[in-house]
Amino acid sequence: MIEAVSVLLRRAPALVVAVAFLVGVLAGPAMAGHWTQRGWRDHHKQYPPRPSGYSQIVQTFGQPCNDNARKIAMQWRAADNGVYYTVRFHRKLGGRKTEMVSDKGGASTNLDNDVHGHIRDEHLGGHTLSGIWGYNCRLIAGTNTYSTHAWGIAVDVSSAYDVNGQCYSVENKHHADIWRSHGWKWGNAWCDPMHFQYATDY
Amino acid sequence: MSRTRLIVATLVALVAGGALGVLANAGEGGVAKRRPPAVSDPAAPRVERDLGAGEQLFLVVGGVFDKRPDAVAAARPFGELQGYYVAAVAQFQGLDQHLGADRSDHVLVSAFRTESGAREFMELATAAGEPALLTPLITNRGDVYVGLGQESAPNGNGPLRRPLPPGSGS
Repeated sequence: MIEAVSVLLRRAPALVVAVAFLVGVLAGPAMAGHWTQRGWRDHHKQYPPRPSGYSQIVQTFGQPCNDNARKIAMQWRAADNGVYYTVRFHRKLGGRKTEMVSDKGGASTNLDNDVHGHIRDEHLGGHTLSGIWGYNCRLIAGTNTYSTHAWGIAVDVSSAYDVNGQCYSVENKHHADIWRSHGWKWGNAWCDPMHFQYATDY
Repeated sequence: MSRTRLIVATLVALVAGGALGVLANAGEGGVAKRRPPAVSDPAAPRVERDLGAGEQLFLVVGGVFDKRPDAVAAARPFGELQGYYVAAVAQFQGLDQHLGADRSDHVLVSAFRTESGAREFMELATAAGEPALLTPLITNRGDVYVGLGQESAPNGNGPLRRPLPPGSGS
């Protein structure tokens, strides 16, 4: 192989340089920004069981609005306006030290390393747009029932585009499979395509 | 009834019944689909509407309107989350002066017992692209519910559902 290249270099150096340049042009953008190139990998460590219904949510994550529900924070950049939104979430869903996440006292690698990492690694950040939030001690609109956001187990993404009440998705459909494969339920099932939650039947 | 009329009547009844069935089904399905599953979970406790009458509260204000219907129309949810509530300016002592509004005006507002709770809600409102102004502590008459019970208790164990003891700070 080396011999062949050296022969080529002697006989047609311009061709070798041109081929190398072409490979660089094609591979460069594909490799740049790949989190795997920067050491990222999906650890899939210490995920809590996904609860079903209120009682299991409390059993797994505690009372709504407890301190652990907002223990971990991450910055999430919206592609359309460049704003970094602070997303707070339950310590059981992230904050564990990895190659890309500092030690925040969290238990697992779910949200900040694995879900967010996959979205970054697969160049899908362009589909996470403005209006992003996680924990909030808040009721479901027009009811007196706490939302899954009150446990820090729900994240709304691209809320300005995938609005609540719209029974289809414009943006989040591009990364919904990543959430699903990490235990998250997509609110598109009840016409809330901005919403992802780590619980079912609630 | 002639045979032709009978056939026509049967066809009309069939079409009308079918259309009604489709509409009813769509309506039922639409309503059911639009509700998060939590709303129908029988185990989920319902939060009592705590009016907080006579308490000093932090208010986050999202707008002032001359007419109540305009305020109601502007009170949008933040995704599935409850946004602002609508209340009369007169419900809060001195709010008219603080905002430069009339006592007969209406505000979009959410009330909190702790400043940190108010600031968390402000962050949510801002992320949702809505205005948010924090007031100092203001006395509440408690006419209508304005969102108490939607902030963490200082002990960190759950939501704050009762007034803080005097002198405990907020």
